[in-house]
Amino acid sequence: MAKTGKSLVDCKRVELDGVRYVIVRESVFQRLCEQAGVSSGEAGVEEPEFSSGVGLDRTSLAEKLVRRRLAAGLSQAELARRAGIRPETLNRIERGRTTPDFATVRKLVVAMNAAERQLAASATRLPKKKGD
Amino acid sequence: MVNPRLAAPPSPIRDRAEVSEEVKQIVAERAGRPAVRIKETDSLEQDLGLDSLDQVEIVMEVEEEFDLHVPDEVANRARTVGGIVDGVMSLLESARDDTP
Repeated sequence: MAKTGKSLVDCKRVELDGVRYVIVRESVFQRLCEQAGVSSGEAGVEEPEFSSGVGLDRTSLAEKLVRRRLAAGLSQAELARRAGIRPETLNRIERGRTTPDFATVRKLVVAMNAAERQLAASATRLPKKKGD
Repeated sequence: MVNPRLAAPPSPIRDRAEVSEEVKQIVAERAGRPAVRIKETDSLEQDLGLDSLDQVEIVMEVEEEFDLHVPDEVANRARTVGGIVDGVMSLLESARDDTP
């Protein structure tokens, strides 16, 4: 089963030119990347490309998928298993290397929604604090 | 000569304008803009900036709203808001034809 306990990420939030950034230690960043199954790349080198429409979709899709998967408390392998797709395929999608077709994205969304519901159900089953 | 199917009492099927309004409402929520600013000619990707994840979620909401299943190949063809409306209309019509 997926872990439901969330640990805090030690980070700082800053705002530069109206854009908000989150600063984390490199070791934390690398651990998060590992957990998310995404490559951390060379520090400060990879600037996102906003010129190509297709590339933009793939990047935004990849990032959103990773965020959704983590919010559903699933590892990459577990989501691939539940969605019935090959783990290597999911890995390529999450790294923005491939554009999945509608059917594949639908399988992923259905599996993540189900996991989110399970997570929410298990959260409401937690014993309530007494004498608040 | 009257086709018996045409003579049948009207089903509670929604007309195109109504379907269009509901689809726009669903799309608007995903696109983060008011429904009145959504046009049928808007491209989901280019005009509204919706990626395939958004598009899948829109289709799933549409399925729930209209109580129908949108086959993947129909969903794949819909590139615009109007394309979704057309898909829903033809699915609603074939569903009505299948249930006498």
